[in-house]
Amino acid sequence: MARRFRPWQKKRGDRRTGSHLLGSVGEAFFFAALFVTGAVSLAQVILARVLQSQTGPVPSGWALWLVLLVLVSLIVIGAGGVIYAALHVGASAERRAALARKATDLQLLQPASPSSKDFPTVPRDTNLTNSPGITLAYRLPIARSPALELLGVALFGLLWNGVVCALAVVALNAHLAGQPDWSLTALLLVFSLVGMAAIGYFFRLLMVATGIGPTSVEISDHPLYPGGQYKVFLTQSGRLAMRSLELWLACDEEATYRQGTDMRNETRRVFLERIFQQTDFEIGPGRPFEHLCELEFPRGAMHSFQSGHNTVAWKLIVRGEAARWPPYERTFPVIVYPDPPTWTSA
Amino acid sequence: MNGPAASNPFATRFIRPGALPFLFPPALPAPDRLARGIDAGLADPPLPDAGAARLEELLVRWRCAGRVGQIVGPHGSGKSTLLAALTQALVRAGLRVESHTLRPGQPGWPRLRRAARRWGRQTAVAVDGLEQLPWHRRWHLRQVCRRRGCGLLATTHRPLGWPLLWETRVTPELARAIVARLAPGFALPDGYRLEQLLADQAGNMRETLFALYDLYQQGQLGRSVPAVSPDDSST
Amino acid sequence: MMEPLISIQFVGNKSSYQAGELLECDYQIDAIDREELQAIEASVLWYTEGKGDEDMAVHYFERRVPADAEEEDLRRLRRLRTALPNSPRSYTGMILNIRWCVRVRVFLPRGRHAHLERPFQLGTPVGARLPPPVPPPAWLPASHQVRT
Repeated sequence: MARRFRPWQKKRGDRRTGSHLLGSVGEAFFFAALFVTGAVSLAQVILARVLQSQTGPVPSGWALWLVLLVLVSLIVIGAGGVIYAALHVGASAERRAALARKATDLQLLQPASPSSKDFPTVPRDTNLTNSPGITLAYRLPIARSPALELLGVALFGLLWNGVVCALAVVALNAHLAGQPDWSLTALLLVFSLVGMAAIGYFFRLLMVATGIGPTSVEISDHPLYPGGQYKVFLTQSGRLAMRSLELWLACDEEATYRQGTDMRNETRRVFLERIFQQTDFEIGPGRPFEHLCELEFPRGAMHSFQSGHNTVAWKLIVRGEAARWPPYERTFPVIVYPDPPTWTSA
Repeated sequence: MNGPAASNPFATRFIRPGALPFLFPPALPAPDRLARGIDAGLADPPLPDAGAARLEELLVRWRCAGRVGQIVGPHGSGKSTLLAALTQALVRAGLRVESHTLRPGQPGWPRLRRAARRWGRQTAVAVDGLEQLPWHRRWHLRQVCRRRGCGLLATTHRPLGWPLLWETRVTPELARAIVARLAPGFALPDGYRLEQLLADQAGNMRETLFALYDLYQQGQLGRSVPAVSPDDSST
Repeated sequence: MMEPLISIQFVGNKSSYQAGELLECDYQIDAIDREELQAIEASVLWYTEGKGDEDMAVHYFERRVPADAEEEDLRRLRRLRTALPNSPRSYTGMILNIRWCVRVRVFLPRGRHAHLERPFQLGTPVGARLPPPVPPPAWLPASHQVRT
């Protein structure tokens, strides 16, 4: 049964029956309300203090500072809460529970990860191997989390609309005092439109991030070697009518060139191979799509490389097309070492 | 086993300013026509062996203008290349040259101000990207150079009211000469014309050379060459 | 003053090596008087070449002055030996190449210097792979993203 619109929740052991989406949205609204209350009230107090107007009792001395402290606290708590909610929208509760349950079942990596001294210019894979998988050895981190974009838009929206609120207070007071400032009012209208667009865009991103759900990719071993055989476990959560879900292996060259005032970054995809594809299927809440597939890394391929201005970067790309959602693409970087038979130690 | 592959002649190490000499058209336009660009003499192909003499003519013009001058031109038209060539000519003439490159977002003025303590009559200051400085800093820079007696050369994308030394612009003839110098005997694949590549890049020679890099490299790797579209850059 | 003639020769006439293999290389200087050679530097290094700014790193370096040479004659044949590292491997890509070489630089009076480099291959030749036979979908072309 659909849980999305149930406004209450019940605790069932470790589970909760409420809607995670509704909870996240409600949490965000609550903190946003705190922020707006703090911002508007602060603007009112400052305005009253500056103009020495009689719109209400104007605190002074220690009372003023106490009021300011409270209002600033509301702003900080409200902003922090919205950002926190945005950051954790994509997090998987199952993932956190599985980590806690399986922490003692980890298999140690064999052999130990090679050192950077043995492989100059090959990036270290520390950040890619510090997250154990549920099914396979490692869970790969995503290159660009949707949460970061959410955070950026949230920050911009909060700041912008905070300014709009302050201006609104000033303009409203002017109108109420019978001395309307029409230029300020006109400016406020423009600013409000931008503010509303920012809010709308934030909620669109939020809906996409929560509706599509997190994607996770686990791999049986890391780093990778040319000619190596690996297992890849793909998980896609959400409530989606998938038209297509694909997993690709890609390699990009990146070069940065700086000349005078011009800086030029170029990326070129030099390898692309589809590993897996499935079409026309459903993903439901609590029933994520899971698939285990084989990956044979191409023999003779170039290893990962990173220098000051040039990079060879390998990655696994998950591409999905779902009904009523825009196509999405999530990238998981991997590190490829040179052929193992010809290693030496530094 | 195979040995290493040959270098791509359009790689950055071969086309960056200083690596590639600046190619002049055969005749310098008269000073009163200089502001209209370098249209005069463009019908004839450039004469590379006249480069040293042409550089000397520009330096004479620079000295006559009070040892101040700017090189104006759009992106990728050779301003930095000409500045590098003039810098080398000044060094050969016995001057000490200080080169500064100003980039967007980076505070260039503090660096210039610190360096100014070392400037004197035997110094020429070469500034690549002068328009990154606000107008009052540019005015200040000229005052400092005037007080210290040092020369000043700069590149800009638009005239800034300084004596105009040269206005760079890339023509198809010039582009052909540059390509011939970099890669003698290089022939474009069927379906490609240098004039079209230059037009696709809006006259930016640097981007045209990068496009040639791709064509050359694809030929070396044995791939079939895809149609190059101006809208090929996409995420 | 004559220009020095620098010669570099890989032992066994090899031009390609594997990671960990011993690179042996002879170099000598001719067409110059012994007294004019102030120093010689020999290095094994890699550098990038392509559409980006060049990067470079030295794997092996030696500098010799006349006092280091037999009879203070730096011109004499000298053998350079080093075990090559695991990476980076020589690479020919679409916008990036990685090249290895031995470079010998001689220092002359009045600040003059001359150099010669001899390239070699490290690892099995690796080039940019062609796209797979199955053409990629329209949404994922061979991406060419240029930001200026």
